[in-house]
Amino acid sequence: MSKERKMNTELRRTMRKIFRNPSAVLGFALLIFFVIVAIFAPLIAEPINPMMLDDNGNPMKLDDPYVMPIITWSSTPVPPSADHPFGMIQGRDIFYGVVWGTRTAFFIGLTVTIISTLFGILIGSISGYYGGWIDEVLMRITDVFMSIPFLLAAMVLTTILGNGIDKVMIAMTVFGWMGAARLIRANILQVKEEQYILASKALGVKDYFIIMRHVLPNTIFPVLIQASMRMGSLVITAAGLSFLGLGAPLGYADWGSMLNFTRNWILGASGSTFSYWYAVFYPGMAMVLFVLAWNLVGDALRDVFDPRLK
Amino acid sequence: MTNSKVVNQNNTQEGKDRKVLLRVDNLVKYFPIKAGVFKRTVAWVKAVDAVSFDVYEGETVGLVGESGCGKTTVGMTLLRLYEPTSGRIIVNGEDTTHYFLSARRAKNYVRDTYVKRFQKSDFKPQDDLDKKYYDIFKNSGENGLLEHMVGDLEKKRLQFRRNIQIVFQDPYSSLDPRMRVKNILAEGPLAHKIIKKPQSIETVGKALEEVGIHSGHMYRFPHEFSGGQRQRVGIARALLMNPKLIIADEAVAALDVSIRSQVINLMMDLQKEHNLTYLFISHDLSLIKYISSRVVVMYLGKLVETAPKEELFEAPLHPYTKSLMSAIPVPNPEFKKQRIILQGDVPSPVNPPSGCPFHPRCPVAQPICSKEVPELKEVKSDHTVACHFPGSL
Amino acid sequence: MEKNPLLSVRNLRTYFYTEDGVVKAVDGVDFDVYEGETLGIVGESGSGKSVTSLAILRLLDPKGKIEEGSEIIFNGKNLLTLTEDEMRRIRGNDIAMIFQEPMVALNPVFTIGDQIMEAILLHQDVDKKKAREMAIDMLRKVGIPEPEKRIDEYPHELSGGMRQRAMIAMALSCRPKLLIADEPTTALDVTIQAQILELMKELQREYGMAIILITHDVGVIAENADRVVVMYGGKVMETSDVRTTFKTPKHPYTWGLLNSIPRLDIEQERLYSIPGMVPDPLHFPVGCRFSNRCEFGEEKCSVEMPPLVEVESAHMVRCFFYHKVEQAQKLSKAGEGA
Ligand SMILES: Nc1ncnc2c1ncn2[C@@H]1O[C@H](COP(=O)(O)OP(=O)(O)OP(=O)(O)O)[C@@H](O)[C@H]1O
Ligand SMILES: Nc1ncnc2c1ncn2[C@@H]1O[C@H](COP(=O)(O)OP(=O)(O)OP(=O)(O)O)[C@@H](O)[C@H]1O
Ligand code: SF4
Ligand code: SF4
Ligand SMILES: [Mg+2]
Ligand SMILES: [Mg+2]
Repeated sequence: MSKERKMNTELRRTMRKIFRNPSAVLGFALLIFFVIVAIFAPLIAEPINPMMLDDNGNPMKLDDPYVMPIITWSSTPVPPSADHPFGMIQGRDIFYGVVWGTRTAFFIGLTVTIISTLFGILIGSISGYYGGWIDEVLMRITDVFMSIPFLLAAMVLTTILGNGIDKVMIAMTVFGWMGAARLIRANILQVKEEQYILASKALGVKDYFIIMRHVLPNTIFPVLIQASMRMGSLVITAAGLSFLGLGAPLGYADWGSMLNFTRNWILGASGSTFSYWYAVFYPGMAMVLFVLAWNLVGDALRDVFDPRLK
Repeated sequence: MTNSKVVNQNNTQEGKDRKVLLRVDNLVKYFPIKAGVFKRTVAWVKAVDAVSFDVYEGETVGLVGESGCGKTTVGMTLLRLYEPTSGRIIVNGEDTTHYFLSARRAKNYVRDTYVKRFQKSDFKPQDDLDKKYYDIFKNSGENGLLEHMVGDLEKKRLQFRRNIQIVFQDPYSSLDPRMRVKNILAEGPLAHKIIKKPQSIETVGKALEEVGIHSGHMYRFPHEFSGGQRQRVGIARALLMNPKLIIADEAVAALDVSIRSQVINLMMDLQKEHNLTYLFISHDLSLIKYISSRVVVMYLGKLVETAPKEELFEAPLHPYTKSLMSAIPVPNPEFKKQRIILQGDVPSPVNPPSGCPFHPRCPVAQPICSKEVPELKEVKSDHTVACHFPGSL
Repeated sequence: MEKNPLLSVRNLRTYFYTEDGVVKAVDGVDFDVYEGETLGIVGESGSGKSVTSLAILRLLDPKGKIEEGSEIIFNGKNLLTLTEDEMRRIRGNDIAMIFQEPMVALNPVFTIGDQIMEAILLHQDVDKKKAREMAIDMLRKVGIPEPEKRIDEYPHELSGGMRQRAMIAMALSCRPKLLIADEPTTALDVTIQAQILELMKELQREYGMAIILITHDVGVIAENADRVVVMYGGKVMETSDVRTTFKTPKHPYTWGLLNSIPRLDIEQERLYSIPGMVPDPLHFPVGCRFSNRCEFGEEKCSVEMPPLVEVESAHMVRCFFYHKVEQAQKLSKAGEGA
């Protein structure tokens, strides 16, 4: 009973710490907002094609909701209206793309981050824990991967594998694990030398607990924090690749490829530079806020997990 | 094992009124130096080389020597945070050297160290421990002795950990920065099931108060304390295991001068209250003089002199001890002391000088000193020196 | 016989303007250094010893500012009014400095010979060959064996003691009038410390330079300094000749410090301990900086800052109640006799 109470106070202290910091609150709020949008995307932007009717005369359900339906034949961007609050571009509803693009962003970010971080942790901890020649070999391999410019590597890889979101994700994973590997290795090497590890050994604490209680918390959180910060930047990278035409196919509900649409319209009509602002603004804003959310959350996590920084 | 014999004789005389808590017998610890792509061992750092001394119950033994002479290595090896290269570590009348080996290697150790000797027809016990183990061997055979020494190793390990604790030098790296002080302190007792979780708050609170920290501070993180307070937390952590022996490795060296005496006094008070025994490791001879009852002086991995405090400081016999004493700055401009300025640097423990390790710097070295290693001899009761010409400086 | 001081520091105040607030690292420090003498500055970590010495050479980090009204008079010139160029000529030439960790002061990519020769060439009108000879001479003087060989070694190839010797050789190669040594032996073993301190004494005798010896080890001060400045919380608490300070300290902090260290020269029953902690420089107590730890303090102490007053000839103390320390000192002396 008293134990539970203590647990609660610990949790409450942590929560209080987070919620005292306005930028952390903003970060979590934004993130929760994006999560809600992603989960309820089918309700917020119904995946139907109003231009096509099914047998019952209702608008047709989309086979693949991630492929944005063409709903108008107007080739120039259409400004926001009540029906299409973010306007339309290339015949597609920007609102629809932004909403469903949230799912794409989470999908790309989470998958790539999780897989590459896990892989990095695996390589880095083997390297740091065993040391010796294993470390030597693994670190040289890591160096090789790090020395290849990422964009170049991604471009080469997508030319070999072909375009597509999955290919971009493969490229980002293959060239995205080194940071985590290095970080955890450096941390393990450092923590191994710390006297509190020796102190715990001298207390007779079992190796398993030493690893779980001292080594992991002191090595893995920085990696997780780094990973959460990378979530945002990965989405930018993916967008960049889409913008270059390497990533998502034309018309895919992805913020990056929506920006790709705007390439022709970015300067607006002659004379009024910003007349097509909405085409850039909404997908761009979504991206900026998404990155911001993860960065703020990463910062907040660092504050919580690193008691040395108050 | 010539060294051990000398030391052991000494204890059979003294052992009647004083109980030996820890006996270090010919302790050796070499570290491999690895190089090349395949990490082959190219040389050895002879960090500790045949060190023997006793620690009696309730006393404070000061282990002193310059940087790199192997003090920390002795402490770490005693605690079995490093495995000794050879030698024995005897705690409370039991050989504990094999406690942290695998069961198979532990058995081999017992066979090699005891059984093989006991099986010889002309065997004569060399010390109390031999007698004790030989009795067991006679009565219940090899298996009986193995059962006594290797049976239930896990329990023996835990018991060993409880008996000997350590306080580290660095008040910053010795406490896990991610844990609250409460959890840091409760870790040991919980691991040993000395207490149950619900009790931990009370136990930790008491321990904190005992070292002079308000028990309400137990939910703080280490960084919320000053260096001196962290060191107190480190002491409380050791204390909570109810140890018999505490190894304090430069426990006050990192503290500010005005904080140092607070912690020293605290440690001395705790010693009285809990009947603790200390092995106090320090490079500071003044501090060693203040805190210890007996002193062990090391140089380059070797023990050079050991004596009761008063005797060592009044009449040091080893030239190194004497030079070390004269090098300590005394905060008294009127104090006249002999000035001995040693020449040269401390040699590397990878390639220690032949013969007496001190001979390249010794002001009174003779030709024999570079040829023959001086043995540790008991020149007076309880005063041993490793020098061919003790007292000549 | 009034001698003119070589260096006199007056009301030196050095503040650091950090994000957390103003750190008054040095806050009103006065002392004189006379020709050929050794002035010891002693104090605990953070008391402002290093900042004082860096301020004299104007080598502070940009966040640190020497406040208006401070004066550093060297050889009759106020160093604080010199241009950066003039100051550069003073450094190395007239005032040299050695640090605790020679590794940070020596450049790892040049041999020690290069570095000593550079100093010589910069300040003296000699050619390269002559400079090399002088460097070898200097290395021999500081007790480096086989200087002809060692001169071409890199700092990392030397042991700690040898590095400190090389540092001293570099500092002394231009025969400065004043040498500032900031914890020159703290990182060294005691037997090596004894060598280095002995060497500094010999060189001082030979060159007649003045030394400011900064350390937290009161023993080193007692054995090597002629006069002492005791610092605490960025202020000078007491200053006098070395015998007076050690025999009859009059400031509660000096008294506490001397009684709280284990000593080889006397038997000690129990060490005195100064209560409390070293104050955080952002939150010094109001009034006397020592008031939150002082056992002699009264109400007045936590209201008003005591002035540094001359309580006897050439003995300055910053304390309202220094006579209480006199009494305590007498008592403890009596206790020792019994
Ligand atoms: N883990 C290790 N691997 C290799 N060499 C080691 C290791 N630990 C210590 N040594 C070497 O063993 C020698 C003794 O080191 P140790 O730390 O025991 O000295 P010490 O007396 O504690 O010195 P200090 O006063 O500097 O703490 C040194 O030369 C050191 O470099
Ligand atoms: N660059 C800086 N920025 C901010 N504060 C500083 C800086 N340098 C020094 N200080 C502060 O000034 C105070 C005095 O520092 P100083 O280095 O002079 O102490 P010290 O007496 O030399 O101590 P130590 O014995 O640790 O060398 C300290 O509180 C320190 O934190
Ligand atoms: S054995 Fe010789 S060299 Fe060694 S300490 Fe004794 S006299 Fe000196
Ligand atoms: S002025 Fe007061 S507080 Fe300060 S040292 Fe003197 S007696 Fe102590
Ligand atoms: Mg050590
Ligand atoms: Mg300093």
